[in-house]
Amino acid sequence: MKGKSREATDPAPDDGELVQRAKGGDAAALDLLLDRHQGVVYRFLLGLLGDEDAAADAAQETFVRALTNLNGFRGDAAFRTWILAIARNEARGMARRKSRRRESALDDLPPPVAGGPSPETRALRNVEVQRVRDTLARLPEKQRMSVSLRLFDGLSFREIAEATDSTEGSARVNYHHGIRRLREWLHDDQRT
Amino acid sequence: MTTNGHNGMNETNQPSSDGTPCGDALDQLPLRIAGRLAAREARALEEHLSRCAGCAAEVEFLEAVVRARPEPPRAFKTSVLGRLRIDDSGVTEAVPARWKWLANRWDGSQRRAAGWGLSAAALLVLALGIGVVWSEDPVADGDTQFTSALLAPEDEMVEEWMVAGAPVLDGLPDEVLLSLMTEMD
Repeated sequence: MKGKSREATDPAPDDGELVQRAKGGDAAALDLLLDRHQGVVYRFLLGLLGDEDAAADAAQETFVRALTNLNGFRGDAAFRTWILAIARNEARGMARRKSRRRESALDDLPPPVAGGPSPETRALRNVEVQRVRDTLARLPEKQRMSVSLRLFDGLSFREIAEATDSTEGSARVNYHHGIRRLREWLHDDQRT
Repeated sequence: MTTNGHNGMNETNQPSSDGTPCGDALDQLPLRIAGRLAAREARALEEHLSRCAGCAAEVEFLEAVVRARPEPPRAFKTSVLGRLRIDDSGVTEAVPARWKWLANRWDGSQRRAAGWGLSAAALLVLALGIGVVWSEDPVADGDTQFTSALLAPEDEMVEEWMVAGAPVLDGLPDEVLLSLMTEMD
């Protein structure tokens, strides 16, 4: 009985424990790690790449790379910090590959239209939601990343600084400037 | 959507009447929305919000922004897991990046169905093979004779590595191979 009640009140396992279990081939632990971090990794990459398909692709690569190299996670930093660092490398690699491809084979083609969902998808989405996303996408990268990581995923300014290769102070300033600008733009947009 | 939020006048971090500076409150609002505030901080923030109209309006604005939070595609997790092999020795990559479009197309039930399909295909191939071996007429037709005459025994493609694409296909899981066969049909 005692064991049962303890089991019922046990807090969710932390990431370190899940990583240890996943290293031993525990599929449920992998599932939980994915559930916990797929959102933040996807949004982080969306902020960097600005395109939903590219972000989903890069997020998939990030997870495959991370989960097949769990031995490389030493636990010095949080799992989230570690996987966001892998995501950032993935985004850089993707941007490099894209620019090489553009330079070589696609020189004659016009540059792609700004990324994002198709017009059909946009129509199906709530207009207000789309308006906020479009406005957020217009923010400068550092502000956009700080707002997204802080507001959508509740990261501390220190975690944001680690993920975006900046300082804690810059992350705070970028967040507040980003929010202020977002409010102004949405307000102006509403009036016109 | 309300775009009224903090007007900026109190963002100099001067304490309001409840003792919490607006700057600190504004810093904490996203954590409150994400449910990541400790109980004590959350209580102090609620106290502040009940007295500060600017910060309360900011909550409304931030919550409207959070409703626009982008989410990964619905089948994202399945796509990742579809590329992994998980066993006692840990996690390895089962489907390399160049084949991921296949893994992306399949969810768990499709993979199970494909497993059965592959078993059936294997049985069919086995049955056909036995039929050929047991054929009573060793010289079947002119085509066979012509082919045999062109190919010396050492030229025949008897080794797997001589088959075009074999090294690339090596190591792919059954379901991916089956999907490839379907694509080629």
